[in-house]
Amino acid sequence: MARRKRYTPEVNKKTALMVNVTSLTDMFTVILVFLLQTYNTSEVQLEPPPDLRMPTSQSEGVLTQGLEMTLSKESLSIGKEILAHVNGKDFNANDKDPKDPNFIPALFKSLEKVSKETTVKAVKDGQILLIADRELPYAVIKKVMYTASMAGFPQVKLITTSQ
Amino acid sequence: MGIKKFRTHYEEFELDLTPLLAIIMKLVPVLVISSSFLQLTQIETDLPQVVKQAIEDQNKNPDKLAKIKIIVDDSKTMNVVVTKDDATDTSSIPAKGDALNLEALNSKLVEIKKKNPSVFKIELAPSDSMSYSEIVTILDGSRKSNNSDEFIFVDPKTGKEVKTDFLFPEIVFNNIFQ
Repeated sequence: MARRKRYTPEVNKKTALMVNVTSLTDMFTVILVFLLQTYNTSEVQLEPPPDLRMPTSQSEGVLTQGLEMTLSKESLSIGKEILAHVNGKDFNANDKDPKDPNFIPALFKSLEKVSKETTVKAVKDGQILLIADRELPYAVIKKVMYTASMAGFPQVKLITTSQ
Repeated sequence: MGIKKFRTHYEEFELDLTPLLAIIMKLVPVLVISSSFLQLTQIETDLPQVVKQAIEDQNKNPDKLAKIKIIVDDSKTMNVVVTKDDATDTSSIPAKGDALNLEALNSKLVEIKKKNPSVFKIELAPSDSMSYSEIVTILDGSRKSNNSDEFIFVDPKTGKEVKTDFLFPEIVFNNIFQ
């Protein structure tokens, strides 16, 4: 029995292949508009740690320059340097000054050093950008503010996510 | 005389989208890299010049205007203390279940603002156990009215009446050294 030949449509090899890019352009235009909307025009770029959840605020203030300080449920750090450890509710006892429990000596030393070495005007003026976890109690934040003001950093700007 | 050539509407007009697509293809990666999908803000922000002037005036003459203080205790009850000319008026706002009663606080602050339109600064004394996010909600509630109310105050520089929607944008934590 003879086998049936498979149907193959005739293709005119002289015809050029035309790709319709209209739908692709539509899609890219939508993506472009979305990206332009989310484009950050602020001169300051902050990178909060992935495990830190900041509070939400109605404030629409644009970020200004200052010394970036991160206060998570585990630690207090400036840049990548960890200055003190937090146990969720308070600083570890050995990170606090035994005579003054609101004072964090490591933070004070670090801020003094930054103040001497910096060339950024906002940092020289004593401006701190505090990125803190939203579940931290005021007792922890108060100690940071207390030590910062003792070290000549009285302006603490609270960094939040926008609503 | 030339002969006019008319195009029939049956002719198809094809727009070449390839260059547009090429531009978009170059723009998209640039924007993807530089976009920030987490919108960050900061609470202390720039204020209108007139409000700034009024705050400076209040800082220079602290005894002239009323002093407003919000004290929050461990049970999340907010006590709003207004001191003016040696007279003190205290209003207590109890917690709403387990949460702060922010609506009542905002209404109380609007009421105080109407009586003291030139005051832009308040002192906040949260309890040690209060969470950071709760403090931020108090800061938000103290900054502007929930009902978009406007307040008229006299500009200390020009002496003219000015409208503002700010309640108390200058907030000082007053129990840091306690």
